[in-house]
Amino acid sequence: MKSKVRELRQAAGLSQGALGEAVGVSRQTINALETGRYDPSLTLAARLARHFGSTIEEIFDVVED
Amino acid sequence: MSLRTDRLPVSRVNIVLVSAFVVGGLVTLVLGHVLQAAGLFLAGAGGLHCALWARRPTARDVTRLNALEWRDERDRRLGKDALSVVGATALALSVVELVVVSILALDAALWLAWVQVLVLGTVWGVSNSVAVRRG
Repeated sequence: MKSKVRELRQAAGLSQGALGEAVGVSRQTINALETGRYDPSLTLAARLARHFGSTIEEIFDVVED
Repeated sequence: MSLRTDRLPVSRVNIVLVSAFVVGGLVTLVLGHVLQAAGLFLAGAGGLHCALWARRPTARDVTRLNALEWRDERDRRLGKDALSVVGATALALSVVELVVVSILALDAALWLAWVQVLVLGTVWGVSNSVAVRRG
């Protein structure tokens, strides 16, 4: 799944580790999200949206089948 | 089975595994088998070391998975995927073991092989039911 996590994180001046710590996941999970290798749970997506003051739809490009 | 335990120094499953080695080592020592006891203590110490190593903030994800020290939802998903392969492999190997032991007609081993297949089959059925209920 495509996402805007990387650009939002870089705009906020955060490292992957710092963002991971802020939302309760590992640096590798943030990296996997940014590279589209991992689809987050609804809980993590909501946590990221709240962290960036955005919505899940704005951050994640959910492609409908 | 939850492997993520923020308040504990290592995961619950590692506490169980290390405890099994330590208790087994103590019992073996009491029974007078010093070398075997030393082996069990060493295995327990090694397992504990690996678990603590995997809990470091900078540990790689594969290190955490190998040590059963899941940190977040991605670790849990990957770990469960990997363990499901282990389970399927164990089930297949058990059936092969049952067939081989039946051909060779080894009574004690045959009984054990039957128990193993039945237990693994039951665990598989229960796991599937739980997974379906959780959706």
